[in-house]
Amino acid sequence: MAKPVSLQNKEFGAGGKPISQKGESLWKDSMRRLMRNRAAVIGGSIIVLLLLLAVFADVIAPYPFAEQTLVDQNKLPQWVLSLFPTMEPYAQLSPKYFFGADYVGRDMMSRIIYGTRVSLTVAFIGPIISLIIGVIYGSISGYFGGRLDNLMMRIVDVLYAFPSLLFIILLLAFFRSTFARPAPGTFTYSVSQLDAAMGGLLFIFIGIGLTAWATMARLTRGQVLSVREKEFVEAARTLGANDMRIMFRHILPNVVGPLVVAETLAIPGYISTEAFLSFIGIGVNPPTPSWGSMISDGAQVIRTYPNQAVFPALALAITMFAFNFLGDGLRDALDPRLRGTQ
Amino acid sequence: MGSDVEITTPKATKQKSGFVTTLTRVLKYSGVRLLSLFITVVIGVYLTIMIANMGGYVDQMMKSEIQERITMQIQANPAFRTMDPATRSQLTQEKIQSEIDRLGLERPLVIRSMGFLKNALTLNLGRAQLMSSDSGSRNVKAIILERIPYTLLLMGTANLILFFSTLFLALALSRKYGSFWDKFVITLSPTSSVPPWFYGIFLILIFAAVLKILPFGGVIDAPVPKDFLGRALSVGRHLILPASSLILSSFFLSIFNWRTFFLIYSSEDYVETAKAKGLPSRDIERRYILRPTLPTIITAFALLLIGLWAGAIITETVFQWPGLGRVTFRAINLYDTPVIVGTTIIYAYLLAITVFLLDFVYALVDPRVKIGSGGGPQ
Repeated sequence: MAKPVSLQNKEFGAGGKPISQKGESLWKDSMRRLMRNRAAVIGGSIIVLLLLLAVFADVIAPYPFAEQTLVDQNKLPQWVLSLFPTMEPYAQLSPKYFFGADYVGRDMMSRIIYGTRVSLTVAFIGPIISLIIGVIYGSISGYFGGRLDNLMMRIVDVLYAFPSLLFIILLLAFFRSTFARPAPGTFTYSVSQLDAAMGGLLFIFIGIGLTAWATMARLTRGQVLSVREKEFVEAARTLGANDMRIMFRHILPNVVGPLVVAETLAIPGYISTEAFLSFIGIGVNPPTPSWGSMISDGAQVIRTYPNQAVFPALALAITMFAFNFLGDGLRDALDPRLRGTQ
Repeated sequence: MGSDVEITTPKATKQKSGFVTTLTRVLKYSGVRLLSLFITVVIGVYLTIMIANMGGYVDQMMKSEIQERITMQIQANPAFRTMDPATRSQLTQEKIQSEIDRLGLERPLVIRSMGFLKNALTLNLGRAQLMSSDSGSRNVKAIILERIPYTLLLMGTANLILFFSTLFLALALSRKYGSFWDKFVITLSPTSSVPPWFYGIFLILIFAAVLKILPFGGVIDAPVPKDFLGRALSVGRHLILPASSLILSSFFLSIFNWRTFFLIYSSEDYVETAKAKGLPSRDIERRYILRPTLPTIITAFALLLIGLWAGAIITETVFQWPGLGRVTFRAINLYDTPVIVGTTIIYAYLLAITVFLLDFVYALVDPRVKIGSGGGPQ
C-alpha cells in the first residue's frame, strides 16, 4: 500500500498536472477543474457558509426572529450611522442590534440569518422539482418522438407564451385564497396546514415547479434527441432492454451533465423568484423572515432608514452571485468546450 | 426570381404562374399561422380567466361580500327599523338574490367564462370591480391606458438605450477579441444575475439619500412646473435612476452575449476568405458579419418591443413609478379579475402579432428563408 500512496503524492505535487497512466473518471477530472476555478471555489465556500448559517440559525442568531421590542423601533448601532450619515438628525442609537432593528423592533441580523433558511431551501428544492418533472416529461417526449412529441411540445409552447412571472403570481394568488379558510378534515385543510407548517414555502415550491419545468423539459428533449440514435442505445435495444431501461439506464446518464449545469445556473432565478413573491406579499407567511419581505419593508422607509433595505438586499445579492459563480464553474468543469459561453 | 434578366415569352408566363403560386403559398401559410397563433392566444387567455377567477372561488367571495353589504345596509337603514324581523330577513334575502341575479352569479362559471372569453378577445374589457383610474373611472381600458405612457416611457428609454449601446459596444469588442475591455466585460457579466431593483436600491441610496442630487422616486416634482420645458426636465430627472437601474442590471451580460454571437459569425469561412482577399474590415463587417446576423438582431429587437408592455413590477414599486407593472400587482392583490385579464390579453395579442410579423420580416431580410415552403421558419 505504501508505494502507490507515494506515487499519488507525486502525481499532484508539481503544478497540479497529472502524469498518471491510469484513466481518470469523468467526475474526478471535473472536480479537479472546478477546484482550479477561483471564482467557483469562492462561490462554493460562500454557499457552504450560508448552509451552516441556515442549519445553525437557532444557535447563531442573537434574538428570535419574531421577537418584537417596540421601544427599540428603528434603532441602529454607531457603525451603521457612520455608513449612512444622513440619518444623524433623528437616529436613535442602540448597540444591541448589529444591523439595527426594524420598524417593530425586531433584530435585523437575526432575521437575515433566519432568512438564509428560506432562500437556501428554495435554492435546493426548486431545481429538484423542476428537474424531476422536466426530465421525465422531456425524455418521454424526446425518446418516443412523433405525434406524442409534437403534442407534448405544443403544451410547453403554450406555457412559454405566458409571461412566467405573471403566471406564478396568478397561481400563488389562487393557492393563497383557495386554501385560506378551509373546513377542518378536508384535503384542502391538510394542505393548508402543511403549508402553514412550512411558513408558506409549499405553495412557492408548487408555483416554481409548475412554471420552471418547461425549460428543463425542452432542454432534456433536445439532449435525448441527440443521443437517441447513438450506437450504445442500438446495442442496448438489440440486447433486449425495454424502453424504460434504455431511457433511464442508458440515455439519462449521458445527458445529465448539461441538465445539472442548467439547473445550477437557474438557481439564482429561483432565489430571485421567491424574493420577488415575498416582496409583493404573496410569498412566505409573516413573520417567517424572508429577504424579499424584508427588502419590501425596507423599501417603504428607504428615505429615512436605508439600512433596513440595504442589508437584506446585500445578503440576497451575495447568495445569488455565489450560486452564479458556482454554476459557471460547474459548466466549465463538466464541459470544457463550453468555456466562456452563456 | 430577380436574377431572371433575359425573359422570353414562355418564361414570362411561367414567372407569372410562379408569382401566383408564391402568393397562394404565402396566403395559405399566413392563414395556418394566424389560426394556430389565435388558438394559442385563446388557450392562454382562457387559462388566465380561470386562474384569475380562481376556478370559481372569486364568485364565492363576491357572494359573501354581497350578503354582508346588503345585510349591513338594511340594518343601518332607519326606514326598516320598525319592520318585524321575519319580513326584514325576507327582504334581505330578496335583495341579495336580486343582486346575485344582476351579476349573473347563479350561472356556472364554465358558461360565464365563455362570455368572459369572448369579451376579452374582442377587447371589450369591461369595468373593474374595485380599482379605479386616477381620474376616477372604473373602466378597465381607462385604467390601463392611463398607465401605459409611464411604462412605455420608462421601459422604452431603458431598453432602447440598452439595446443599441450594447449592440454597438459588442460589435466593437468582437473586433478586439481577448483585449483588456473584452476581459473586463467578461469579468463583469455575472452582475446580471441580480435583478434591477437591487441596483435601484443602491442607486437611490447613493444619488438620492447621500448625494441628494436626484429624487427618490415618483414621476414629477411635487408642485408641477408650469411650463412644458420645466415639466420635461423634471420627468427626465425622475427617469434617470429607474432607467439606469434597469440598464445596469443587464448591461454587461447583454454586451457579452452579443459579442459571443458576433464572434461565432466572424469565424465563418467566408469571413476568412474576405479577409484573405484584403477587404477593409468595415466592409467585412457590414457585408459578411452583420448581414447573416440581422434576423437574430431583429428578433431580439421585436422581443424587446413586446417586453416594453409588461412593465417591471418591483422596479416600479421601489421607485414609486405609476406604470402597468404596479397596476397588475395591485389588481392581483385585490383579485380584480377584469384588470388582470385586461393586462394579459393586451400582452398576449401583442406577442402573437409580433411573432406573426417576424416571419415576414425574416423573409424580407434573409433570402434563404422562404415563407411556407417546407423548411420555412418555425
